[in-house]
Amino acid sequence: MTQLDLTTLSERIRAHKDALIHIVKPPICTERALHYTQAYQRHLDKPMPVRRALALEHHLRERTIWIANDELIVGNQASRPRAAPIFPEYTVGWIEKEIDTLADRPGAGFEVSARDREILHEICPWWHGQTVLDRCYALFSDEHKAMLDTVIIKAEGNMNAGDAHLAVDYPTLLEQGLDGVRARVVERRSRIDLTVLDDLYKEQFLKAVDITLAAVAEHIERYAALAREMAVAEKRDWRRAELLTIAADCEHVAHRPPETFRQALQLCYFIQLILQIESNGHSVSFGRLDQYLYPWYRREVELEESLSREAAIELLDSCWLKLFEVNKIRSGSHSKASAGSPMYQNVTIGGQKLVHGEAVDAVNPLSYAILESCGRLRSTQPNLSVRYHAGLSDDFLDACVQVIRCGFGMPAFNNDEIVIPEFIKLGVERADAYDYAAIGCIETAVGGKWGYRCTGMSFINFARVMLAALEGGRDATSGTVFLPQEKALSRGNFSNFDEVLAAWDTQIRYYAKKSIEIEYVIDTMLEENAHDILCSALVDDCIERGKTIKGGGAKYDWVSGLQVGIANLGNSLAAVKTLVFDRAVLGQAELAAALDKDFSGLDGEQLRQRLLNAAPKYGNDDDAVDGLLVRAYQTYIDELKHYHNPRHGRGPIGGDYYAGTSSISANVPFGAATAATPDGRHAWTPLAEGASPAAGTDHLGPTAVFNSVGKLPTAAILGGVLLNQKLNPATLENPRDQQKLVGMLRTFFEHHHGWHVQYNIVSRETLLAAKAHPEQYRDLVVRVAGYSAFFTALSPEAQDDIIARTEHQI
Amino acid sequence: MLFNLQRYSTHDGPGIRTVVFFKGCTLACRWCQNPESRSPQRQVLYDARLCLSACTLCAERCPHAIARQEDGTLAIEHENLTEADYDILRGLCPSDALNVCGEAIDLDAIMEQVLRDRPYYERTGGGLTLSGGEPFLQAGNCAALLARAQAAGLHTAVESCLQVRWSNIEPSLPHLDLLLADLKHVDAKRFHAWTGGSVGHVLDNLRRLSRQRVAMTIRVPLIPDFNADADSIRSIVDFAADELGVKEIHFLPYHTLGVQKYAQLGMPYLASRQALDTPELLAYAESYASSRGLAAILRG
Repeated sequence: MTQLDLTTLSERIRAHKDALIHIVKPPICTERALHYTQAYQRHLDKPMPVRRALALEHHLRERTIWIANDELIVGNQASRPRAAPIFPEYTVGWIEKEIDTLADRPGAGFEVSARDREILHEICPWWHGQTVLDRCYALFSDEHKAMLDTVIIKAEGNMNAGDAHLAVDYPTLLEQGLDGVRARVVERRSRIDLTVLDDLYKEQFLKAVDITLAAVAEHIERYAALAREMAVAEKRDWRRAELLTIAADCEHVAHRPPETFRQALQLCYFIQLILQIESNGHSVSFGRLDQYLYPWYRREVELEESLSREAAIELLDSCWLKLFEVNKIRSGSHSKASAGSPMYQNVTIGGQKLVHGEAVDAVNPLSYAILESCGRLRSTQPNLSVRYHAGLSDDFLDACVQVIRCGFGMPAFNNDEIVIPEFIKLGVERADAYDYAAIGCIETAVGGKWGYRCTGMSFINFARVMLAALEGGRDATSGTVFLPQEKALSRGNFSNFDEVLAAWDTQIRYYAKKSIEIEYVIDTMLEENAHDILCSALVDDCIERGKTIKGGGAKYDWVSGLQVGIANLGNSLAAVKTLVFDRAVLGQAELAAALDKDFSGLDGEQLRQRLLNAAPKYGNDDDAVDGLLVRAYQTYIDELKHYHNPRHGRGPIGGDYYAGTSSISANVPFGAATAATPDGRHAWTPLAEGASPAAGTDHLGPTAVFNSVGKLPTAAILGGVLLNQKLNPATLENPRDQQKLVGMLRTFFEHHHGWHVQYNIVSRETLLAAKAHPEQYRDLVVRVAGYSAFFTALSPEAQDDIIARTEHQI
Repeated sequence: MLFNLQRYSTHDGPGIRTVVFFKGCTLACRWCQNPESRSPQRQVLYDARLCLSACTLCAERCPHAIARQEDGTLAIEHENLTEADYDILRGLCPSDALNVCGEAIDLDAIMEQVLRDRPYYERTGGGLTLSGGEPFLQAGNCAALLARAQAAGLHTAVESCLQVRWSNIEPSLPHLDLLLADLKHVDAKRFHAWTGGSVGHVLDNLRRLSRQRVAMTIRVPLIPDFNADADSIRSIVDFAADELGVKEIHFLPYHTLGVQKYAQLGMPYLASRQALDTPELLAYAESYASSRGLAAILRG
């Protein structure tokens, strides 16, 4: 078995990492906001795509650039490391409201200088009425607004930020270089006929692409000039030489296809970076980096030996730290659902590839090098995913377990054995299906060919919809009745449990439809107001179609929303069925009253304990509850089939919805807005995370959890089935136990066709100590949801949620 | 009677296994970490941490044995509990603070649970392990369950202290793939003092099993003041090497994870409250075993 070296870090990488993780309250950067405001004002007459391109061009020309920390890969998102830029075109509302208190937000604090505050107060008023969010609110019905206001449906992140959640076509970019892509635009423009109405719009988009690509090249050249300038003043010979190499590399990749591994990585990073300057959509992912960078790696590291493996790993680590420098500021409420300021920049390794039509294992020496580099760095970025398949070697899987044992929650696994066949069934071409990548957290799409948000649309609080179904349609949190129904526990008029299920069906269908209505508004306003030109230029088939991704430019376009409180839904229904109807030990009104007063008093607590202990719980391989959950979830899944997304029929294959559970840390704020539930959960406490069992309710160990999760209709939840498992580190010390873990994983993936699993291998004691003494644990990284975060950067509520998860002993 | 069924067990035989714990044992080892396994009768386990301090459900139903004390915990007179009480108390406590331990063996129900993890057994070479307590004490159920598992194509194992009559062991042997046999000591006096059993009987069973070529793994719990010393280890290893002809020996360092259960049963705890933490002794055990041609495995 290959033994990875998981401890070596070069001095510069260590120092760079140290410098970054000790930035506890990163600054904000107002340069982008200022430049975009100036450009928008100057180009008010231009069509929106061109205005957007000119704004990016202006910003790239004017913004502060720097090279620091003796870094090998260069590029910066904002004026200072980890500074978060501001994107006023999406919204200024929360910025104006929260600007003075940003420093005090627990787990999401930012430093704002007096000068920055002044600039923002100057800029923001101009945007009133023309931001994406303002325009969405002008289109929403009163009911939409009320649902969003009480957050039974949450779509804030879709309006106050761009879309992203995709990987662009890096392989083609690397093959053609920026000039090559630009040549395709020129060629496409040569076929425009301005006597055709569509072409008038296409021409504006293509013109915007041309402006943008030229601006990107020019911007990369600014780094070349800066590196040369710094080389002149540099006293250390080795660093001077490095700066000159950086300069030459930047000059090269500003136009031409890369010739070296280092140039290829640098070009990818520049694009990754500028995508996140153009838009603040997160989950901008690299896709299958080990596949498309391998030709350079093979030539330099394996054949010519012109680059040592250690040097290649150092370049990767340098790139990962540069990914970690990219930051995003979210509104106070949104940051609770994205605990720890994650960027979800996913890198996928492993999986299969087609050779002459035959599927073979795609793992190569670069896959190992990437795995090893992440294991050494133990950072939150990239979010590393391994594509599992039955033919994955024991050696590579063992190497993955070595990294999992490091305890920072990576790599996570996605499973070819379900993703590929299900993608093919959907209509994805075979060659594309075999080339899928993990995006953001745990969701999947075909890099460079798929539109935005293969997951990440609106969030529905399943637990609150379930409470409404139990109580006449009344939302327990706001008291509002969105969809009235006659049956209610408090009226004691459910004749049997089937009527409870029927009420759930009616309510969830209604909310599903409402969530899609809300998404239609948001999608349309994003399409009309926030074109991502660079991003579209790098996704098939936008250039040929002359359309942005949002206008239907992508080859494939499926999206998914997120459903939160999966386990709470199943457990609550099972408790009502078991105790109220099957065993009749609990009255309907009695349960309603207990929920209403949050189980207060001895009677309430006795009742709550019964709900907890005397009814089956999801995660214990008990068909009585697992079956109910599947039955209830299926209604939502079936309802989605009635709708198409706004790109349907406008170009992409697909244009539909599917379900998804990779709901980041939304279980914490969603729980904080959810009254007591019949699974025995107290009011205002976290819901269950993702598709994982509710904390502390899975008593039978990991195989039972896998068996329960395996019963979910995974083939219809292609937005991801998120399963976090927490293992005590002591239980993975011995190689035979590691092998048993591998055996269990293989069974889950091959027998149950599990979607995904990820591990937290950190003891409860360590977590408690880190909560108490954050200053000593700045480098502790934990798995939150489909991503990892620095533990001490989380709010106390999110920290407690992770501490409370069931810790399995092996 | 059984008292637990544990899935995803990884230290009770090869691969991933499900362990069924039989209730009732012929020994009373002081260090036993499953004290609820000794009595063949039902028992009440009480975890004061989970108890709702104002709740009176159990005390009202069984006033002759259970009373609420001033400190909010329950006083339980275990010896006053009757079979009728156990029936009343089963499932009564809402918070699971008070549990009736022990239920009749239902082979169908057990097999239904066991087979749920079949794919994991097949992948890892795992299967079913019967433990306890002493499984051979319930010879009929033990053999029947092994036979069912074997017929279902599962690998079968039994963990035994071997303080049982040969006639209890024999019916299981045709259905047994691996015996995890305890060899706690070879010294009769010390063995009796710490376990209440007769080592001669155990050693005879071991020799007989060895002669019949039953596949065996020898397991030695290393207990401070009992056998966690070089002399004891040598004598145990010598016996295994000279008389049993096995190739592997497992050393299980003493731990105290079950101490809490003694309090829950109202029983005194007589062994050390410190887990064994002597890496040098473990290293010695490993090297001595290896010098005698045995592969030593720590923590089985």
